[in-house]
Amino acid sequence: MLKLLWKIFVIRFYVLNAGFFLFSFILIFGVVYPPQLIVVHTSLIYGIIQSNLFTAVVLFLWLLYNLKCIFFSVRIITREENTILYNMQAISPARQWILLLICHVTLYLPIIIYSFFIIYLSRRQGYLLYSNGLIFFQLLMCALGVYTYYFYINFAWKEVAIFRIGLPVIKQFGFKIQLPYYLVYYTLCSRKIIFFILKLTGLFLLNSVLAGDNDQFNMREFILVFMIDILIHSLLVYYYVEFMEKMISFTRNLPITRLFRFSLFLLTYSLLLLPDLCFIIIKGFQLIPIYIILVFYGIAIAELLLFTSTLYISSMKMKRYLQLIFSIYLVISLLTLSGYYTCILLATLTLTLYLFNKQYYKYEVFM
Amino acid sequence: MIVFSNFKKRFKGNPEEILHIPGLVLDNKIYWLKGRNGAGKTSLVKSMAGLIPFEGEISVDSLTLNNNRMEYRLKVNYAEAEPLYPEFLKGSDLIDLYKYTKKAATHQVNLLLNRFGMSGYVNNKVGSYSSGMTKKLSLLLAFMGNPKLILLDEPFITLDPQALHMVEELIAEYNYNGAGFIIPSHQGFTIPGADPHISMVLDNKTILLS
Repeated sequence: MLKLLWKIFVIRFYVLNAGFFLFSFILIFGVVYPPQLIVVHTSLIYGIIQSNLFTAVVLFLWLLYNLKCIFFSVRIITREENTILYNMQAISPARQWILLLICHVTLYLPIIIYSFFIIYLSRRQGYLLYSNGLIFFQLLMCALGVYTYYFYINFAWKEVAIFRIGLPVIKQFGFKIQLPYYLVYYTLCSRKIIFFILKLTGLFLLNSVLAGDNDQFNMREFILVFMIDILIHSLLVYYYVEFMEKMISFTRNLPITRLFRFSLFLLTYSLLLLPDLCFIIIKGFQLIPIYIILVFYGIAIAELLLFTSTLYISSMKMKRYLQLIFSIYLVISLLTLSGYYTCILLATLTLTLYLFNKQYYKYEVFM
Repeated sequence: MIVFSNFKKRFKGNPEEILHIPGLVLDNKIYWLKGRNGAGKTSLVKSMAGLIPFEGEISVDSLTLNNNRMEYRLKVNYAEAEPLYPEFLKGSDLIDLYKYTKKAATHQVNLLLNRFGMSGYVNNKVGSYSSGMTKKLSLLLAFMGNPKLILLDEPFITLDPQALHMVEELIAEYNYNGAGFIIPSHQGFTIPGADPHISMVLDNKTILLS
């Protein structure tokens, strides 16, 4: 039974989220100079331990990741092809709990591993209550997951509304969803957890370089962090192209111009990056001129559009996509450091339009 | 009139396998496209619908995808065998999209909604539809506008007998008004009042007309 659950939950989860994990890994460990990795993370952990606000942010991110695992598993359980899972009702509750606990712990493992180091260091520093609190939090997270799966498997006939986070306001007023906003709705309905994690991470990163005053502000540091903020959004870009080409591939049969199709992405990215723009304006208007902030906003949109266009290159796979976007990240970051912001914006946009125009009709989803 | 000129479709999973139609002229009739599983029926209609790339040229009433991309898509409609739509959209959202892009009249939409018996649930989210309801929605969308060629991939699967009969009638009516049909299907069908349909057998990546 465990072998089956392993295949259905764990392997699928890690395969489907390979990109997410690679991004997270690079974000957490890749951006630090390797010999300083342990020092940086130890200081980071001490920072978490000593600041209540920092701890709250970390716990919130862990909760979001836990919810991501739970939503994924609930989707798996409620899928028609997985009705075989309801046969688990024939197993004793205790055994079910053990099996589901193993599955959930495996999904939640990256967080457990990192929190283990935090618990270890906090105990060494004498923060006993703090470390016990973290242990309790992780037990609670695991129990929440296992209880949810147990509930869905054993009470399948019951109407459950706990985890249906929808868009009540939009439902209430009955707005019509039009093609230009499909990607926005897709984000809010199907990718909301990823969206919130990306936004929080992005804003957290930006805050780290915009928190100081004029003397402490370093434009180069800001550019590099801003580019990482754009880079992490490439995960959503991947999901968007997947959505366009798999879920609404029928739109290719509609008489819509290529420019209009391109503008769907343009509109979505403009809205997607709006919180980052507002945050930079609010926190950094005294540090960076407004027109430069707007040009950066343009570069960010153009870069996401370039990521989109690269996904339309024939036979693009996740591995090749990652290689390409990291190359783009490096090139644009280095060029941006030169200070010719407007030229970089125009060059990126030109390349993007050229690629999209050339590749769009040649693209075919690999079945 | 549908004209294939040196049409070639290579399969991504197996690039050595090629579906090749050197030259073929079809009238605006109802064609029953037959062929074993994996013969390339869906790839052929998807190519004709402009969903996937191919080599060569297909023209419908002298319109081609290379030269008249927009007009071609206005005249060629397509319904998938197993339609899949985003769960957060309502049937009416998709109908509005097709109404706008395929330039369909409001009375045509209302008429089709009545005939498909969809008025009761068209404002519900697609995620709440059964497979038969989703199939009906996809067929309704394929009949919208003023198409010259309608490609219906396995149109009769998952439909109830009443809806099945209605779709056959609709095919006959549209064909009478000048629209051609290519219908890949494993099920046989009868079109009341229409010319006897022509079998297109896709065998060994070659099309044989009978």
